[in-house]
Amino acid sequence: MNPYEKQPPKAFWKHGVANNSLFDISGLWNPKFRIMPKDNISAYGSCFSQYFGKTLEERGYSWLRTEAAPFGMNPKNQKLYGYNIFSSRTANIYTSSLLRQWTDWALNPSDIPDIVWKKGDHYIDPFRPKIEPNGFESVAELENARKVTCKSFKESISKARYFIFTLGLTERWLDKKHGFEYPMCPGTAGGKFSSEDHEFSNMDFGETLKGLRLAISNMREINPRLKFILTVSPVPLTATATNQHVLVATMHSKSLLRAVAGQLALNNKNIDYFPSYEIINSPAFRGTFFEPNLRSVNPYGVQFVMNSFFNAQEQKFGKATIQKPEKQKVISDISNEDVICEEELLNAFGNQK
Amino acid sequence: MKICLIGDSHSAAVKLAYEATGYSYPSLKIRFFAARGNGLYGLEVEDKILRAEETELKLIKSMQFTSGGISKIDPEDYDAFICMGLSRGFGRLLKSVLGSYSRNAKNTAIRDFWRDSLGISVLRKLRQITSKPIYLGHAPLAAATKRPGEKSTHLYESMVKISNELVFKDFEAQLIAQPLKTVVNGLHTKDIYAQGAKRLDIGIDDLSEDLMDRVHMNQEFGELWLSNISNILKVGP
Repeated sequence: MNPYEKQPPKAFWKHGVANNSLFDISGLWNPKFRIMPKDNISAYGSCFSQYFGKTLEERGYSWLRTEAAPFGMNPKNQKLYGYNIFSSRTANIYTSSLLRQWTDWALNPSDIPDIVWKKGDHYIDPFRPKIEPNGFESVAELENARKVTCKSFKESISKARYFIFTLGLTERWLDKKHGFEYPMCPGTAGGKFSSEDHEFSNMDFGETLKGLRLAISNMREINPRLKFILTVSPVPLTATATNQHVLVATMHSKSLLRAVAGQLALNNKNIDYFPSYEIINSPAFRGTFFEPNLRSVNPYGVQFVMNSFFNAQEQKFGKATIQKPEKQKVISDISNEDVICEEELLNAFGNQK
Repeated sequence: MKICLIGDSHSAAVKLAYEATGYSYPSLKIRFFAARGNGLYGLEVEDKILRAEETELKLIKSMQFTSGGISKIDPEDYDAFICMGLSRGFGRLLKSVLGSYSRNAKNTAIRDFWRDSLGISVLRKLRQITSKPIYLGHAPLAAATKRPGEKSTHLYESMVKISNELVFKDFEAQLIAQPLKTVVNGLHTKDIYAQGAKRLDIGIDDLSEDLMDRVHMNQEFGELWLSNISNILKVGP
């Protein structure tokens, strides 16, 4: 008897994939943790991670939000102002090093830099350039808002049982002088690009792994019991700053992110990996879940990913008792238009040839 | 002066006050059109008249009962209009703007709060059929649960002023404050005004029991409110 003979059907491409309709492919995730509806879950990351919080809440789970919108603000404007997208108002956190930066600030608020960008009469937060649709009225208002978010971000770590993080990019923009990382290239969503002040960096495997390890270490300092679920965004890059074709650059970045997430999950019982990247991107799914631009994930794809998440939980741990009435799951509730993705701005500022 | 008061359950306090003390305002004639909860969303404009939609049978009955038999609002019959209540959480809005939000975010919240309210829904419909003065009295601030402390009403008054600038000015309407005498702790109504509050009578149930909540006010509050609006309308006793 050889070792493969003991393997379950899902271990074989023929049984796990080829013999199935793509909608019947299952068992893609063997979750490490049982997520109970009462467990507080924080969710951050790139554009794709926005679906997690929303879906968790729709299904009666406790999506933790520690930075509430002002009372009265309608849901559309809440989104526009960056509320109720992630657990606090950080905006997208695309890279592992950007996550590390936020966790550094959560631990040491005095390290928060006093960099601001001016746009007309208003001020833009370089670390969340689209968080205020019209910019802040004063530097003091901007800095105060940033401090509130840092505090709320820390609270979303200290009060959470699970932290879901969706890795999106390896490409990043740094401030040469101070070493800070910007979520967006200066000059795209705000500010002015200067090759003297700003530099491009494409993180390698070691840097990405180190960034994530440090971020997790920081978060464990705040909450030693925190468990992590890592995912990789299946959404391709809008643009690359490398000299590669965007398709090649995408595969390079995503492969690194996937490998880093897998590496951490493999070696740590408190870190799990959920394969949203594979569900959308694997050839087994034939690109079905992409919109015609082959970049945006369509609502059915999102629904399929989220169903896979909850089905895997149920298969392993049994059905969770939902305390709150489950909201009707209407597929159109999840719309691409709802997703706030600053990276899309690169399209507007890129080469239009 | 002939006034059309369109309101929700919060208009009960004013109705009771008007029935008891209306004689003090001989030049003020108020006709009430009231419905509980969100019932007034069922109003529609037809032929320059505001009326309940045909399918809104409960609203039709409610309007007929509270007005004394009339189910349509013809703007030609009145000199001014008052929308009473038709909003929820003015105190929460007030509290919220004390939080660390940018001014733009606060102003957006104030605009959204009103624009999503029943009050604005009724106001928009009224403005389709009349250019006469329209006043809106928000649902009273919730009654205080702790002893009165802060006496200043500055924040409350500022919120009324900002709401007028951001929202009501566009409708050529005016949000009016509840009597400042009734405001305690900056954002609550003095608890004595919530004692003995009655349900809005729409002719269907027993009203012998008082309302036991913190949001509906009593006749005494209504009397102060009536006095306040009569000063604004310049029809005081």
